[in-house]
Amino acid sequence: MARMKFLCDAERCIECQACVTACKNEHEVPWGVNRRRVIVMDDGQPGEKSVSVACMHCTDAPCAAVCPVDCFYTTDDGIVLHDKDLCIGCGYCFYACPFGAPQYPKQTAFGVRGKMDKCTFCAGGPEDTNSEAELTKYGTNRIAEGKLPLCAEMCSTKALLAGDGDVVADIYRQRVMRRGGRPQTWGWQAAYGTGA
Amino acid sequence: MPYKAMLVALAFASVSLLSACDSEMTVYEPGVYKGKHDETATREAAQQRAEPLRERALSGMTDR
Amino acid sequence: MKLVKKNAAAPKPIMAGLLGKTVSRRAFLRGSGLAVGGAAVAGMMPGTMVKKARAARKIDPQAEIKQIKTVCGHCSVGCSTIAEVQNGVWIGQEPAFDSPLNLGAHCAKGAALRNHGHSKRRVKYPMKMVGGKWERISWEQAIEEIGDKLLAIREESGPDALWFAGSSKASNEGSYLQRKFAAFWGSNNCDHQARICHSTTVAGVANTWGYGAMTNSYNDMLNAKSIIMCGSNAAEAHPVAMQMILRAKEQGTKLIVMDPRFTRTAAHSDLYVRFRSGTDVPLIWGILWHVFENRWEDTQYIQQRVYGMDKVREEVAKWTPQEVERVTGVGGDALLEVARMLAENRPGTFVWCMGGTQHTIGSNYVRAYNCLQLALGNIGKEGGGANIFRGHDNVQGATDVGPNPDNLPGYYPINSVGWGHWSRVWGVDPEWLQNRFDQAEYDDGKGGKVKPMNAGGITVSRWIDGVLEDKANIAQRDNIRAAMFWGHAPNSQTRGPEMKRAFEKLDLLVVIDPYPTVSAVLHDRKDNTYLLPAATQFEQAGSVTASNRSLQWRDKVIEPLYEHKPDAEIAYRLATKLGFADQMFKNYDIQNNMPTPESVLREINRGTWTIGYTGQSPERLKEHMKNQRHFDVATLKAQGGPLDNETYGLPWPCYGTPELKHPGTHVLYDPSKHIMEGGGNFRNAFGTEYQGENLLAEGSWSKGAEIQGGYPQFTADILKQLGWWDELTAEEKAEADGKSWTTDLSGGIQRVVMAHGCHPFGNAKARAHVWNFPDPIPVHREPLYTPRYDLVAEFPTYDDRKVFYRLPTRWKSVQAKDYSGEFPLIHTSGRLVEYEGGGEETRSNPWLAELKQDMFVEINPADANNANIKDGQTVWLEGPEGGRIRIKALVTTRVGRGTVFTPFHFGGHFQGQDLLDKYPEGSAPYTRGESTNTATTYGYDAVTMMQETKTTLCRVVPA
Repeated sequence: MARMKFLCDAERCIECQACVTACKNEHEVPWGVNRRRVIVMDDGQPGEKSVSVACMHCTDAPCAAVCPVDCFYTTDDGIVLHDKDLCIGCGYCFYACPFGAPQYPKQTAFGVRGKMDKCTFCAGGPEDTNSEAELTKYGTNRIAEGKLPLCAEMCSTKALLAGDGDVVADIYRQRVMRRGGRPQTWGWQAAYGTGA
Repeated sequence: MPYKAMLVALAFASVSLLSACDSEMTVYEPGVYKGKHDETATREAAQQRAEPLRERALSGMTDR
Repeated sequence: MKLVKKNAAAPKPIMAGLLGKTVSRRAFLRGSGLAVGGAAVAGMMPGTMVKKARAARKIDPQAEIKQIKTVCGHCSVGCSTIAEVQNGVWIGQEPAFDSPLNLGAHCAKGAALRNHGHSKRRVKYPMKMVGGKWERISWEQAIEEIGDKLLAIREESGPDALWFAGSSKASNEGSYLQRKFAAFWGSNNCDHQARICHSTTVAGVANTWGYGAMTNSYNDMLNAKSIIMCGSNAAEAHPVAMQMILRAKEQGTKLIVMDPRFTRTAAHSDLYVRFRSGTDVPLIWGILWHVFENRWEDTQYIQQRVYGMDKVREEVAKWTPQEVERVTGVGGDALLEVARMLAENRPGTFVWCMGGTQHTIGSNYVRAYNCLQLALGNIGKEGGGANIFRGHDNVQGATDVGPNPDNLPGYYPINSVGWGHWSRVWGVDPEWLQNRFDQAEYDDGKGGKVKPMNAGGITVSRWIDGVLEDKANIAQRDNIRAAMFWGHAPNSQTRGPEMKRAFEKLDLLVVIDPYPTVSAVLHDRKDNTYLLPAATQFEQAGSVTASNRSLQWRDKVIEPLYEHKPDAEIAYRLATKLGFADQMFKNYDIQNNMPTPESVLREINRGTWTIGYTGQSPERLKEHMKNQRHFDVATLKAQGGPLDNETYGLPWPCYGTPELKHPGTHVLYDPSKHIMEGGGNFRNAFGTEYQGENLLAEGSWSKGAEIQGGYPQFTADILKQLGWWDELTAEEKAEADGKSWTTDLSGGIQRVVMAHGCHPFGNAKARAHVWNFPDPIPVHREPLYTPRYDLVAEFPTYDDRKVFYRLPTRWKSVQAKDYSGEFPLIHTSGRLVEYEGGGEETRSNPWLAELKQDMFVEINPADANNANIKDGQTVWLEGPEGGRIRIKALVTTRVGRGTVFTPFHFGGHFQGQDLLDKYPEGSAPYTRGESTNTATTYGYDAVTMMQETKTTLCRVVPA
């Protein structure tokens, strides 16, 4: 069974922020809310590296484990989504998340105030697919149309990969073989367990 | 109402209330999704999109 | 759905740890900007913004969604993208995986294009300044008033009193019409971004081997064994190019980055060399010294295909490792290692950008790079070449056929031959055209006299001097009195405070742009100032030329928002009012008050023989866009299908008529292929010998050439001598007789020459020695504002010149004063990935503007401590000519000691003052800041008038 995953290849990431604006573009994420960010390590120094980070759609999602109102669910192909109607904006999931993914818009965003917002893997939410309600609360639903998250689809160097974990791993493995380096599957263990 | 009668009534009430909670029922089950059902989260939906998404990844994520 | 309850504790929050430890430029700026951003949001787009954005996004699941392929407008890579349009609204943007140039990829700007489809931060209607206030007027009124004023100025001061900046962001057709507009108005006073972008490159490489363009392509870097980048930060300026570069690196290609700043590109390099800004010639000669020392040069290649390398060798001999270290600061074995890496990994490609071009001796830098590549035998080879990354989406095309002050479309000269040729193409009487110009003669700067029609116009780098300079010192009838900014930001030009004065002195200022730009707000003008809303690239169709010379057809995505009009319509309306539309537009198909882009491109095809813009008919280009998937990524060649063996986008030269089906040229000067397969050799453009030395190639010719050896460029007479003349048809003969391969409008000469496997422009050697330049062999000269004043006596700049592009131009008199004591830091500038050019367009896009909210200066910790500056602090950066900017300090080792860096995209603040209230209501960009060029200084290249923006001086003090 397919299992959706993100993978960011730090050797290829050039911190260009295309993933960030692609996300803004696709979902019209308001100013101040960032479902995806680029994190830089050793900025301006030899060894400088960057990775693009959003919700990793963890196998054993810590956010769901700590949610007091149980608003999280996981699709059969591994996408972690949540119901904003239930969310109380308590912020527990932010503390639990190893990636700092959950966002808490100060202003009205996506039509609701004070609810947690995060990357949906471009899969919308529990509202009817492509309904006005889904678009308003969660953004577009590309997955339902057979498309992958726009951040990865538009990545300038194809550093950010998204899709069936097997396909993603294959693409990445070939790359690592070619360059003969050590794989840098940044964040994979934390998100998908030691077997990932 | 005399004090004694009240006590008996209270005791009865509490017992009967308690017995209303039968073992088959919990008020709150932690960790179980409580929100709206999402049709696209099901196995059928995931199976249906698996192949198109796979093809999409091969056409868009590879170096070509 | 049941979730598994977690047994173990949640993993340690590693992100928090990382975030806590590292302070990136992003984190720093976003953090510091949050308050400002918050305020900006509150002030400019309160809660209602969300609702408005939603309203623009109404997606009707029932209605049809149209997919339209277009090309990004933010750099020269040429990324395709797919716009989804419903009921005229741009509702979605999809990756164009099929494009062989970007494979669907985008940078931050490309991934945010859709915002241009409903951006409200634009000039919405024609506007006029009345008593210092903006008032909305109609297009009719605007054209009437502007036209009347221009005609009055022309009457009083002649046609050269109007100067205008055209645009490298216009399509080929738009920019070509801009050049034609200037010609029909009767002046060469037009220019565009290329002047301050790659003019030194274009002049340098054209004079070395033939054409002023990137020799290979982004894609071809996949074939390189080594890549050396000098003064190019592709990771920010051309991010999608990094896809090819990093892929190459994965295959084992060595990547060398040389830059005063440890850029994000440098972060991915195998070898990084930091050197003092402004010392590229010694740096390159330092590498070449090791090449010669170890006999790593390609002697056979040099003998066959290069003229003057012995003279280079003499100059290089002076640059011993010790001497190089003394001047550039690069010591040890660093350059030996660079030389070895290049020598052992051939073919290698050399990439340079603004870091190499924007200098007072930029044309020397460029030619030094060329000489290195020629010595290694790397030019004219797949995987080799001079991969010059150009800046704007159509700066290559606008350079080729657009508003240049010193040549005509196709680089035809502004002498009688060039004007004669284009008069024939345009179908106008040459005498009529001549009479449009000022007939008087002026100083040509070389001891003679010249008519303005034959004299290079005032450049965009110097327009302010055309306004401010004493009239007696200008080699034209009067000062510039009217300026028109037709798609050009002023904050990308140096000397801001003087520019403000120039704006204020103008009798008429017209800004034609989708955005108000800094031109609308920098000055304190009260009247005679107009803003005309131009359509964006997505609101008009046409062709654009990417950096690799591929032409792509850009379809119109949406109808212009508000009252925006396409460039072609604006040109048509203005020309009609000014009285020359009937002449200028006679060859075109006019629809909806404007010529169709197809009919304009067909005219370009009919006239641009010199550089092979003749084969790319609109039909062929549209076929290429349709069949993108058929093209191989590394060779750009179609494999099968209707375009089998053609190169994607028919990169020029695509010689001959469209019917001849030349496949386009992927790699210039490559003799391993037949000319009809895109092969070639170096151009013969400077005679067949110089001072007794042969300039034609020896023992080298392109595959299948019937002349096996060097040969001159072709004319009708040479064809007759060779006995090839009778292969022309009778019709071709009638046209071609007495003409050359550049002026024969039938294409017969080119057709027949290529049938014999020969190159129409001849087969010559590249020139390492360019005798017509001020420095025939590139030499080092210290910048005008140098931190090493002790070296000035040894490496002085040029003498001042009385007339250069019509203006007195200073070198020595500026360098005469030592500023290095008071202004101890080198000030250099460059790009950020989020913004482009003057930045107005990108800073008006909230998805981008949010990411970089503050103008800043990168300063080394040592220099910061010396000046008592802490990270994040507000500082003044002060230039030696008095300009000062109030910005944030970003303390980082990205810059070396003694060097500070500023990005050049900001505008809307001036010397500490926010100019927000000067913008027409609701049109100010979300993010504003000081323009770096308020603090930059005088300094121009002695060949092209390129401005110096990469090496000047400054001091940074706490605010």
